[in-house]
Amino acid sequence: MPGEPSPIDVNHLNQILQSVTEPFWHRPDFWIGTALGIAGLVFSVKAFLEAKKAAVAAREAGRTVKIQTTTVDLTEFAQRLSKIQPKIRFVDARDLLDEVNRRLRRAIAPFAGDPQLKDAIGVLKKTLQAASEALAAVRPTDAAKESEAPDSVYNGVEGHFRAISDALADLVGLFEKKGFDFGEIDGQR
Amino acid sequence: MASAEEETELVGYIGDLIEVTSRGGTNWNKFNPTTFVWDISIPSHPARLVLQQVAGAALVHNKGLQSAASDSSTKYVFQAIDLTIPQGAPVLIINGADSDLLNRKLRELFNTISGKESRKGLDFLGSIIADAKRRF
Repeated sequence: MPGEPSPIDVNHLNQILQSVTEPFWHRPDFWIGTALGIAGLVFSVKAFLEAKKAAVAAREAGRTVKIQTTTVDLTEFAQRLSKIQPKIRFVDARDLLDEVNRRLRRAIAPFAGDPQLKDAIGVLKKTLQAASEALAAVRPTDAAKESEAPDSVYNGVEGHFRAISDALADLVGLFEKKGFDFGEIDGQR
Repeated sequence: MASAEEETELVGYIGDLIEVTSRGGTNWNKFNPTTFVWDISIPSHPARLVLQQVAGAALVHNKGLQSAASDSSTKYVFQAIDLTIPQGAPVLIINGADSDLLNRKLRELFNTISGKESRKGLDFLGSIIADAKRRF
């Protein structure tokens, strides 16, 4: 009859009504979307954590390289200081101490605040200061007559140079231990 | 290292030097802030004596580490140089680090020389001031 809905229309409307009134969590596509979203979030968090670990590892690798380089430098300075000879002239001793002082301070500056190294660095700085004072105490009043008192420069500074060498050896030991610690920590991760 | 007999003999010689220096019979010159040199002009046997004060490396303690230096005391080194030998090689070296007794005697000699040096400076200053007072 014209004006009355056909059975097909009614069925269609019923389907629409049912789909509107049914809770969305009963629908499988909701759970598929949710599962994909959670999986994406998990992977994002994992990627972030991995990137963070990689950054830490890279930073520590950089520090280890820096420590190894510094250790080599410190060892070289210790060797140079221990090689001074009795006939050393004042200007040569002064140039050697100036160079060692300048390069040492530059090498240890990045580690000055490190709790494991700061005591040893403090000792080293004191020995450098004492050596400078000892060198000033043997500055000849007349440089042309320096050879008149043989070995006076050597006698005055040798003990102090040895003290710097000893302090350097202590510091090198700590640097090497520190490098080893990085390896252990990395291994535990 | 000198034997006991040699050490006794050296102590005697240093004592003689202290006495002669005290009486003003020597002419020590300041070579550097911690070293005195005396050139002895004996025509037949010119010689030079050198006395140096050596400050020991300061003993620095460090937590958990060995000390960075071992010796904090002041030592004295004495050299007798024969100027008839080319290059003026030292024929005698006394290192106060080897003997406390010799180190004490050398310290006494060093202090005597330093005292004489200071006296010389003070006398010079005093004479200048006295002269200035007379003029003005």
